[in-house]
Amino acid sequence: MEKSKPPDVLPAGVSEKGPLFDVRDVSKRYRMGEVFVDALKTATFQIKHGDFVVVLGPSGSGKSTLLNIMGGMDTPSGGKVFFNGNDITGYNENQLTMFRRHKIGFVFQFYNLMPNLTARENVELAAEISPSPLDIDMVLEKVGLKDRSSNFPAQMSGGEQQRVAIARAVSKNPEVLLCDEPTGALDYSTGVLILKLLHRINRETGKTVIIITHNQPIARMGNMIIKIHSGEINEIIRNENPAAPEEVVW
Amino acid sequence: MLLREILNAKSQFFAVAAVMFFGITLFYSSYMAYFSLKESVAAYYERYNFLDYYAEARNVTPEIIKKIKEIEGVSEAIGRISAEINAFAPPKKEGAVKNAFISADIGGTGKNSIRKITLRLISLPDRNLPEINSLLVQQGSYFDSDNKYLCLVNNKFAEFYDLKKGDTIKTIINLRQCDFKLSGVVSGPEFIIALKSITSPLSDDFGIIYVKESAAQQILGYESSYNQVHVRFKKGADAKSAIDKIEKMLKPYGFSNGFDRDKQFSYKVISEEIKNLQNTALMFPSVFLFVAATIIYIMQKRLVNNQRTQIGVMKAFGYSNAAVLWHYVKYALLMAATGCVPALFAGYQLGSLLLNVYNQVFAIPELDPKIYWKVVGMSLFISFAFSFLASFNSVKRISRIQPAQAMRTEPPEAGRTIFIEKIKPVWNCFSFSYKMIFKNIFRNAQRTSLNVFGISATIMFFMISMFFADSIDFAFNSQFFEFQKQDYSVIFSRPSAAADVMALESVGGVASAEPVVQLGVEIIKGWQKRETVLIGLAKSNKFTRLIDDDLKPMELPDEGIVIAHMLARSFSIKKGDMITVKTYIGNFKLKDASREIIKRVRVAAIAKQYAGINCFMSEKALKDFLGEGSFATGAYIKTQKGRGTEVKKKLLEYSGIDEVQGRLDIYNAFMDQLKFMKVFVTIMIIFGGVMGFAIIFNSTLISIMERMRELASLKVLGYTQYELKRLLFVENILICAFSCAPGAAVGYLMCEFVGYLFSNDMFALEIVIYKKTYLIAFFLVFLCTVIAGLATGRSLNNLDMVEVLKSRE
Ligand SMILES: Nc1ncnc2c1ncn2[C@@H]1O[C@H](COP(=O)(O)OP(=O)(O)OP(=O)(O)O)[C@@H](O)[C@H]1O
Ligand SMILES: [Mg+2]
Repeated sequence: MEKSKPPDVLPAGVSEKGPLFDVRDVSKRYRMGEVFVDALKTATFQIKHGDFVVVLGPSGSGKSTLLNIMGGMDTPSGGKVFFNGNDITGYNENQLTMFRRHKIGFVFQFYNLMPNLTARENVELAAEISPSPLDIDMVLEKVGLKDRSSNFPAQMSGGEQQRVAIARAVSKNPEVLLCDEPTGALDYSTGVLILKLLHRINRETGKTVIIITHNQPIARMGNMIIKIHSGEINEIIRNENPAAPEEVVW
Repeated sequence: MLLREILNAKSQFFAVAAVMFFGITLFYSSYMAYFSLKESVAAYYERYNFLDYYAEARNVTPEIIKKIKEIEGVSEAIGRISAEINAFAPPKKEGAVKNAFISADIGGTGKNSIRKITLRLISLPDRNLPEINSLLVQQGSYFDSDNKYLCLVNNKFAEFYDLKKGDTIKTIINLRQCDFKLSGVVSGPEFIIALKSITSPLSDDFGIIYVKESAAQQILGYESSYNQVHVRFKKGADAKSAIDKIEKMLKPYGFSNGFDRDKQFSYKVISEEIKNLQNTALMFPSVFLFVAATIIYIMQKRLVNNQRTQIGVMKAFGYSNAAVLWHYVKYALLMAATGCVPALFAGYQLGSLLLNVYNQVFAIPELDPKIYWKVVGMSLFISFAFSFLASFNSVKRISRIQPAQAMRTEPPEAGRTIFIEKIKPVWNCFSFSYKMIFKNIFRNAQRTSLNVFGISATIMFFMISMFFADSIDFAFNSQFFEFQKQDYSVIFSRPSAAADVMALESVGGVASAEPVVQLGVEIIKGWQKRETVLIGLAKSNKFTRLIDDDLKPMELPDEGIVIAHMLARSFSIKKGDMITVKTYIGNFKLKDASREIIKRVRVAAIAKQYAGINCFMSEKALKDFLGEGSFATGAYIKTQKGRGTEVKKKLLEYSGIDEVQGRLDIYNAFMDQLKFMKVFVTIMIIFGGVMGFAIIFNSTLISIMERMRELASLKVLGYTQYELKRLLFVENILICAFSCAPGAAVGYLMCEFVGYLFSNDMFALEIVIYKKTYLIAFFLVFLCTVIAGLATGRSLNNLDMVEVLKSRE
């Protein structure tokens, strides 16, 4: 893939002081025939650079909807999302693609790796389109998969696959990692390993990490906790003493 | 539920239906034409008592005919006179209908120019229609007065010159002019196609003239005798022993040759045409049907894979295997019906068009389009059978799906290293995106090989559609531009001294002239016989170029005969072999006045001849063979620039000259006939293009659907729409490129096979495929790929990442 320059609507080096995400009155309404479903109702909050954010809420509360809108995968029905001061809700298809390409790293519950590519190639796939990719081998080493780099997804455990997915998201050198239930398909100890990894990335690189979960205990890890219920944000907690991943038990 | 599925995959549904449509249209039209032609011809032969056997003898008396009639197994026998004569071409009238297939206009057919043509004269009973080879009077009447000089002519000839009852035909028989009054226009089973020979396309300079027996006997000097015997056998009679008896009986009367019905020229041409039509009816449609079946197979296999869970659920709810199977098979049958039913109408139209063409070429009464229910039945049957079998084989796995297992998720696809990865220096040259494309291509061997198969089939189809034109073009170009160099070929009324040819050079406009001998001969080797033309030339001739089997120019050898390579091939004659050559000399047009010569001759060389099977001898070799002094039956001439027409006109005024054939005129007449071929090629290319498009379109759509999740992941990663389309497009282009070599190879073999199917002992084609044709075939499949790429690109535009990634697998 050729490396495209970031579009000029995203001027580099926006003031460090402003928030990374400024979400204002964002709502999402689905229409199902005659009925309307409000998946999200006027969500408003800000996320700072380097935050470790946990979005907590029960199934169907609108967590994924929120994350997808913030990551430029979906557009809201109302409200605005500013990223580094730029209104991404006004972006066209192409600008959104460039936004995802340059700024966002996604991690999903079901890894979504290419089955016919090796671990290393899956990471390469993302690094390939980034203007400032990280060294692939270094990233693989960081996630502890240096020896498994030539394995195919089918030859790896769920935890290993999720680590490949994280390496893939990180290798693009994005400003933020958006993780939709990254531990959802994993057992407890593997889940903790993944949380540790994300935590370390947040601390060592200063990248903002946003995690979605419906597990109350995991929320304690975040320095910011957004509680969401039936599409509404109930509570936003600034946690001065986030718990270490090892302390989290669920 | 079915309707919703059709709407979901409507483009695929209609792509399959379209391939089915074209396949059945071709099938229906060619079978309809096949049956119409076959049945009309058979009925024609039966109703008008077409001959079973005929013999040529010098002097057949009515008594012999009577005796032949008494032979066991013979139901009817007649004697008649048949001779080739010349005539002045009737003046063409204003507004005469010019048939597209016999429109070759020989240079200088101005309204008042005199032109000589050849007619076959056939004698008929003075009063009644003959018992064998009866005639259909289409206009005027049979001989209806006591006037001795009444005549009938064949329909195509009358049409061309717009002849009506009462017109006069001026013939030249034995150098004397003899006028006949036209009493009727007829057609008969003996001359469904009336050509001088297969290699002579100019049907406007040939016709059949029927005259009263009494007149023929008188003018040609037969005193109440004949030179042909025609026989019909009783049904189920032992024809072979009857023929033996007849031939033995005719021996003392100058018997020269006996022919079965299947050696009769018109019969042979029609039978070959019917056979070819049947081959076409099988070959072309089956390509389409196989392709449609393959697409259905792949499509449903994918569908079942995708709907594994639903199938599991349905079975858990208690639906039987048969019910679930039927759900899918029904879908395939509906596709077949959607393509097949309109194809019956289109096929009828195309079939009528085909019959119309046959009606222009052949004189067959009642060759009209009609509905053959058996063809309708066959069409429905094959389209349903093909789709049923394809669908059933593809979805029969359903019965093995266990509900519990199906509702569990399938294990992820196992990745593996592909072979080019192991060739590091090559592999490292590729950029990452190309590596990914290669991995995708080799990922699913079955899918890729089916794609390669489909595209190769398309290339093959394009090649089969085009190679005939190439081969014929090549044959005619070598014949008329490489091997022949004369401007005109002059045919004398009788053999003349070779020195007389020199006199032609003094005719204004003639640059040079060269004597030539053309003799009808029969080449015999073992039990195989073939009639052809022996051409005698001076060793130093300028106008005929011969090349040997290695394509090197060759000189006429002093001794022996040079035969055409196609004849050598079909009789397996090698250089140095001895063959028997039989001919008649004297008056060449009237066999009875001639002397038979049969001699063993050594084959001195084998010459390439792409259109025709002429044989050659040098002047000296011919002298040895015939035991005569040097003479000429005609001349090759070269004219001064731009004076051809003038020379031709002048030469035709000489009474000793029967015919003046322009080399380019004949070439152009052949090319004119190829117009029909071009229409055929164009239609086939359109059909093939639709097929190629449908194959690539469907396989691309399927591969998009199978990789929906991966494509969505790539989109999330930040791959642009354009980049995704490029990935798929380059993948298709590469598969297309991989298919070129096997496609060309299979195409070549199929062309050889088709060439073999369509060859017979009158017509054999040297299979020539121009490089251009390969390139056009490749270009066309690439074009199909590009168009299919554009058409499938749309489905990526509305790829909803959120929706696709929401669920697990
Ligand atoms: N395409 C859609 N059409 C209609 N309704 C939708 C659609 N997508 C989501 N919803 C509804 O919006 C609501 C929020 O969905 P969302 O996926 O954001 O929930 P979630 O909090 O991520 O749940 P989970 O923890 O189960 O993933 C749900 O009630 C869901 O039914
Ligand atoms: Mg969710």
